[in-house]
Amino acid sequence: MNIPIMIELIINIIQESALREFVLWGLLNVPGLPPILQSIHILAVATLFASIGMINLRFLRLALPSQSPNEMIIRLAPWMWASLLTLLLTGSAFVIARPARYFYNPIAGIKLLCLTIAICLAALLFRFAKRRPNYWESSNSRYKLAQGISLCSISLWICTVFAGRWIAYLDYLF
Amino acid sequence: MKPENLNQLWDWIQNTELSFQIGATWVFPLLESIHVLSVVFLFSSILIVDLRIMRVSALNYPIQLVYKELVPWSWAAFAISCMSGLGLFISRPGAYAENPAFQIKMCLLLLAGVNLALFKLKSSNDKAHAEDVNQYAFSREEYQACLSVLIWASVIFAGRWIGHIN
Repeated sequence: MNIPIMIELIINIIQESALREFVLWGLLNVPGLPPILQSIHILAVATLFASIGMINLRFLRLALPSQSPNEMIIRLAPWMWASLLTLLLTGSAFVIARPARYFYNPIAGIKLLCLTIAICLAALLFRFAKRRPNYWESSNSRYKLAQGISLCSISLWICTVFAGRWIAYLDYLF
Repeated sequence: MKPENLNQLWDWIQNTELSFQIGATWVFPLLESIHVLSVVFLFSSILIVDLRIMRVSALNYPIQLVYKELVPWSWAAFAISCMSGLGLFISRPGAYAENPAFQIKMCLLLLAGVNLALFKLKSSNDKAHAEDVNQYAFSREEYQACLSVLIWASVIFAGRWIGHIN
């Protein structure tokens, strides 16, 4: 099965589901629900930046120089996962309500790609830091690697935020 | 300034080439993206400091140190969000000025400023706090930090609502 057919199949499944009917009803009938969900989405992005964003900036020596990166990872990992869960819940409401708008939007695809890679990079940082205390600070080469990962990671998070805004402005680009 | 004078001012701004260039081109979404990103950085830096004051996170680090290390980020993000926000405002000044969500957002920003000024004023007057930064914050400071988080979260809510009110 090729990809366009698969995407169409997924869109059809979502469009015909009871969940979509329920979400769409909520978005259209609950007063103020779309901006409330969007605001919670932005607050979750901010919490995400307060956790993984600050860890990345710490590795890059751009913020919180007195804090230990390893301690930050252990302390802030639950904040990051909670933020991601909130982002998933609030974001998926709009995707479920209008799947074609997102599945056929290349910017949404870029956002998803950036998000997936950024999550993988964060998981990589967390995994090694949890496996061995001070893993990333135990040698110069490991710290340099963590800095490289952090630079990619923060860039991808910023791209994700930008792509999120540009989903609505596709006409300006294509 | 009288309301009619203000309306003339908004009309004049809206008729400028800059206003047209922002409102009718890709500059608007670009400014909006920069605005959202800077607000995200602003709220995240404020959140870290406020959560520390509220004794929720980063308890191993003194409040003053966390504050000192993040305040440049907060101010830089605030400056960028003000400039990008001004750019967005220029595109449709009359419509924004009359938008209740925009008016609430401006009032909340003012309130956040007053809260911060009171926090700094009281903290600098408090000798015990200045001498021992490792001391846990007083209840008043915790309340103010909690209020700060609520105000800034409300700023984000009001900001999002602007686009949904015509």
